[in-house]
Amino acid sequence: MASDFFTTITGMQDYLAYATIGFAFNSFIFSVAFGGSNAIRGEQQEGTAELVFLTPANKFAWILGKTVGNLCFSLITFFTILFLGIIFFGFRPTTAPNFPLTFLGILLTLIALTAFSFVYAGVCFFAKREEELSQVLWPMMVFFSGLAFPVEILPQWAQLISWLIPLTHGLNITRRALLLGVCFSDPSVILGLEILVLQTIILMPTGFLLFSKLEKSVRKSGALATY
Amino acid sequence: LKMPDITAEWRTFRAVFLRNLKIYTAYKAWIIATIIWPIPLLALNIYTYYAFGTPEDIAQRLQSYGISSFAGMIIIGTIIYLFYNRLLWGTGVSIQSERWMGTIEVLFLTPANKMTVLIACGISSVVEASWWIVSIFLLSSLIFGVTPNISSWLAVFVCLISTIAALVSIGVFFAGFFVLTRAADNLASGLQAPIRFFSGVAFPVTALPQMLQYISYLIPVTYGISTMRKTILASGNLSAVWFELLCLYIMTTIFLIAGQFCLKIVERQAKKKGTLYQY
Repeated sequence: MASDFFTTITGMQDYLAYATIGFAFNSFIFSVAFGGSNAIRGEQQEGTAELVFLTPANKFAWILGKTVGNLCFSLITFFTILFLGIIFFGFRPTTAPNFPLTFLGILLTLIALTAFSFVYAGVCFFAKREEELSQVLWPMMVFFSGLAFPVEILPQWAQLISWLIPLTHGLNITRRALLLGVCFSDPSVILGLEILVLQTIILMPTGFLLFSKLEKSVRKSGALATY
Repeated sequence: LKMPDITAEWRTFRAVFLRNLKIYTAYKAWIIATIIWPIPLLALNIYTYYAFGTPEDIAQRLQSYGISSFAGMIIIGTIIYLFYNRLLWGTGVSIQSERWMGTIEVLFLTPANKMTVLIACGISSVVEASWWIVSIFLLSSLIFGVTPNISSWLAVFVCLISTIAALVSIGVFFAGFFVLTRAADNLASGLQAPIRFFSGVAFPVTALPQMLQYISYLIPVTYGISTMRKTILASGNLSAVWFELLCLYIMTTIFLIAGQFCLKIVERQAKKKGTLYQY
């Protein structure tokens, strides 16, 4: 199922395959991007946040552990959605899909999203109400990253925001690798990979720094356990 | 049959209602989230269609399903869905939240009517979300050029109140159910996508295969969306929506009775097993 309009923009024939890959990525938003904040909020609600943060354990390792734990489940969801796409929506990869490129695209997206999750977790120390914030952030990420439609149809200013979200590039690489079978030398793939690496390089230290700063600040104000 | 003490019920209602509004206004992030939330959701639903052609092409295709305003269809669907979602979290998860906050045992020890507590949670959630109606209508006329086609304001009002009552009753039902299953988070999140799909938030239900339409007609949100679309976009009056309203009233009654039943089970289990606070 696709229209000429859709094919002209994306170069792809099958919208359902396009959307299946998009919504398979959706699980990564909740598990990775929101994983850190969700972990902190959970400890706050259960009254164990202060105890966790009093231990000498490395907090980044703690959040990373929680996120990777969630990631295991989201990988199951990811493959389940692809499988359901095959069964119900006739999702078929191209005859020669580029699996190494798919793997690399997903891996780089996950790393960049992990870096984002540190920033978001730090923000949720203060904002509290992680559930409500995530409910707003989720449709924003889905909208701007083009999970359900090509970002090329967005206005110019919105496309700029799309480019700042790692998911946009990860999705583009994965779709092109699975549905068009493009190789590493494809210009849009090269650009996407470069942006993902750059985003990881920028977001990782920023996330660590911001999280440490916000953690210190919340310890000072004594608002760690309050929710 | 013991008659309810109206004064006591009112005191319970007022206390819960005011407490919820205080909690709501205490979190700046929550207020901002409430204000922003409808915008990306609405844009997402509309832009998914834009992947297939120009707005004119899409409007033309949707006319075969009796849809006169493409953006209007999505806007109304989104508002009702947002209400459903807010009430599911505000009412349905309210008792489970007491469990998370460690206050559930205290709540169940009080002589307050739990049904009144839940209805107060529902009404306070409606107040929190009421701004969406105003904002989305403003946005829709400014950005998408949607002009309502209303012939009976009374019909719009009756449909809105009936839909809200049905959504509150869903919340009341799930409140007890979530406490019993101890999986409020997972169930409430898990219900979002199927309800959004089957109730026809972003497309007419008649576009679904017949088998799937049967599922749609078991969901009150479907009727809520249908009545609001008919009265706001197709100048329908009360006689045009009587069947949907009747279905809404029947479902409201069923959900309220089932909710009361679930609450009774929760109370009985709480006294018997003493595991109310466990999560």
